[in-house]
Amino acid sequence: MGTTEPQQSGIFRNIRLDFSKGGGIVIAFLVLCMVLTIASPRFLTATNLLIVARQTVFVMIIGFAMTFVIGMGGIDLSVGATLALCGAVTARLLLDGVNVWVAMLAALVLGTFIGAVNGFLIAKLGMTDFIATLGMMSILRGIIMVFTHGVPFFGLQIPTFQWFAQGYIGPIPVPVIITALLFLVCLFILKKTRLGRFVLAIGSNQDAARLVGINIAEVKIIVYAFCGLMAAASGLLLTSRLEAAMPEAGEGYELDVIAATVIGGTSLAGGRANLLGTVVGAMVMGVVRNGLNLLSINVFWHQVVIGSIILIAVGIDQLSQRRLSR
Amino acid sequence: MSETISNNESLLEMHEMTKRFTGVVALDHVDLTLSRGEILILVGENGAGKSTLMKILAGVYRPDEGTIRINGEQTEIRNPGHAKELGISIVFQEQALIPDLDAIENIFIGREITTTFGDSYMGVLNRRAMVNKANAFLEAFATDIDLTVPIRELGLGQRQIIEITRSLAENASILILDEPTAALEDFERKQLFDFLDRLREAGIGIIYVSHDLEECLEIGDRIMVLRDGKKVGEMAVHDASVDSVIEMMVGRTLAEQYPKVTASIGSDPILQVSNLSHRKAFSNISFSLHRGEIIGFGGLAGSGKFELARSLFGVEPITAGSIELDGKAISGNLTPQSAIQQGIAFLPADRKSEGLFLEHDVQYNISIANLKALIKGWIRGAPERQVAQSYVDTLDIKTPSIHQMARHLSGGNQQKVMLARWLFAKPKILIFEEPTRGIDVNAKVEVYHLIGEIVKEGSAVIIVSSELPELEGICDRVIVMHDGMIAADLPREQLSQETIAYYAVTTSGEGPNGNH
Repeated sequence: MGTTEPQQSGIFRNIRLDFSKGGGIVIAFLVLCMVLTIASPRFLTATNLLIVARQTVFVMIIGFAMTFVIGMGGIDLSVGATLALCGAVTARLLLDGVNVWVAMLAALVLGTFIGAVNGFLIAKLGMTDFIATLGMMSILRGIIMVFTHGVPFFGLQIPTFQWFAQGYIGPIPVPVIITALLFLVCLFILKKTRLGRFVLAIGSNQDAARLVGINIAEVKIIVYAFCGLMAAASGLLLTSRLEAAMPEAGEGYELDVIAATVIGGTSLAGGRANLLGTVVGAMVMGVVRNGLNLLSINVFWHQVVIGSIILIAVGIDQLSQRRLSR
Repeated sequence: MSETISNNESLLEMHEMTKRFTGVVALDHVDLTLSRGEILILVGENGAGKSTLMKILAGVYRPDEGTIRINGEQTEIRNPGHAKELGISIVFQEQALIPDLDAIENIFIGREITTTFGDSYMGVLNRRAMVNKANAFLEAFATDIDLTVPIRELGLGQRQIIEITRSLAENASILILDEPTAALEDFERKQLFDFLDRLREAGIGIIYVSHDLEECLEIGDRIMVLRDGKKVGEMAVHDASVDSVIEMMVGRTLAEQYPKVTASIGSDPILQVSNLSHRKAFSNISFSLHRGEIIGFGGLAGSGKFELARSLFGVEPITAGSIELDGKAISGNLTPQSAIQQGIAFLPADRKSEGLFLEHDVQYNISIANLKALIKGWIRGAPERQVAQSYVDTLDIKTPSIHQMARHLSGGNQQKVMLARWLFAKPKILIFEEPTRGIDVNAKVEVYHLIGEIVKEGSAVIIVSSELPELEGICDRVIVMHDGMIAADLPREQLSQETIAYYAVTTSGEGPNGNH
């Protein structure tokens, strides 16, 4: 058992390595927190921070998977719609009296299937990632409307189901714990498994990846299926939180998720994936929204501020990298 | 400013060029002169100062000391744009043409001839004028390239010519060519050389940087050798020989440029290929490969040699025939994945685009093909580092650490990383495509030694090469391909560059032609 200790230090070394790559976003995040602490006495309180955390997990969980997708040189625009459909399916099943665990499993299987179809279209039929998932997004949004008739499914007051998004273990919200566990699992996959290596190899140089014997189609299907799975998981948490499934849930999430991933230092060109950066990226977006609310700034301005934050964070990163490569 | 012109013909004089980088002297009082209509060969090992000197000329670096005269007039080259104005143009190894545009559009890109609105964005293109001008220009140099097809449909040699033409259309009088033939086949090289001859007649001064000494001596007028930032030799090409230039470059005599290792060759074939056919590149190929053997494949571009090698690794599909490994036929479709599982490794010619993960480190690049060996539940970090470090040590890969990005290594060291990757995977058969393309003399010899080590250990090697001396020098047997068929299967006793070249251009049975 003595061998496990140095191994763990290995994972933590990798975390530090990630910090050095996505430095811009960490600095931006700290500055942001400092500014908000000064501007609003309510910001730096345990209650408020937990609120932020609970609001952020939905984007963050999908962001973990998106980190793999983007690190592989792909993109998935269908995650928001997958989230909504999986949430709605679970809600319908629960309202029909199906066992909570069965209902949740059904959603996870459905999400995985949707992702696998994305992967199949991209890897086997050779569609570009953008177009395949854009089409999928549109199809899923349509199915949701057909399925729900545009009306939310309300009334999911089922304690076991509510616990996932509303419960606490000690002082810590359950969704935060789930997110932390998923983060560790994803970090392990990325750093310590062949799948993680292969994802970055494909993102870095697909021709070379093929010539070292990587089954590119298989890896792509797995990664997109994983992305669908995580979107479904996020959909379950959101439904549990709202005790309802909204037909328009997750609209615009795909862009928030991609933004969180990219400002976290994962390269849109592929080959570079930074999971911890994605965590910070999602937190930046959450903190900004929270701060704007605390400061009672007109909602119309929120998008402007968030867009600016994205540009600034990515800009800092680009500049620091240009300096490094010189 | 005309009082000290030493030579009327002098197009360019660089005098006492010195450049230091934080304590390191990259160039140490180097003189360079170039006359009109002269091809000056510039050679030296990596790090000898060639590229620093050329970057000064291109306006990228400013020299710390020294003077530059162009057409006898002293000048300072302030920046790359200024270099262009002075008529200096560099054609890089990596081509800067846009593959989807045709030659005309590429030649005039950024300087389009227009009918109205001049060079504003709304300028209306005058295609006919550009076609006429380009035609007039290329006709003068007697080339017959189709200027109206997308660049991607042209051969690499033709692209090179188009790229040079673009420079000339900008009125360049000094042309710098950096490894212009590195990716070219022999016949393309000849095409390019004919073109360069014409440029020489037209009075263009050319500085030609290359690792390939044989071709340097073929095309050049004068040769200049740099070593450790100093000029160590300069002579007319007809006074130079490959051996003497190498001696100057490396500062010592290389006992053997092509060290041949003869390993004991096994009796049963490790690979038996029978009647292998490809959709169009080759048909009916049969040969066998034994343990300890190095087989070379020669032939022109289009002879099918590259496709054949790639089909053995499952990259190119085969339409008929069989492949037996250790006496067992391979069932089903061969893919790179299954080829690797059965002990075949493949090192592509284009290391940057097909071999390396450039933005990943040395360790990542070495372990990627055999991660299974590092897994005990998950990928273990310590053994991975040990493996990478041990290959860096034994192959003498020059890198600050195993965490250096592959992009920052020299060509020779990149090839060694590729070798390390496959040695770690412990293959039975290694297939090399152009194993020493674009790497310097010392690194070449090291690669040949490593190939020798591989066969001594009992593996077998296939080398596909366009370099005749390499085929002659290190192979036990050379199979020459012509038009998708085997033209000759030459044992070591019969190997010579002339015979290989002869069979590469003639199908056996046809009448022989020119032999030197």
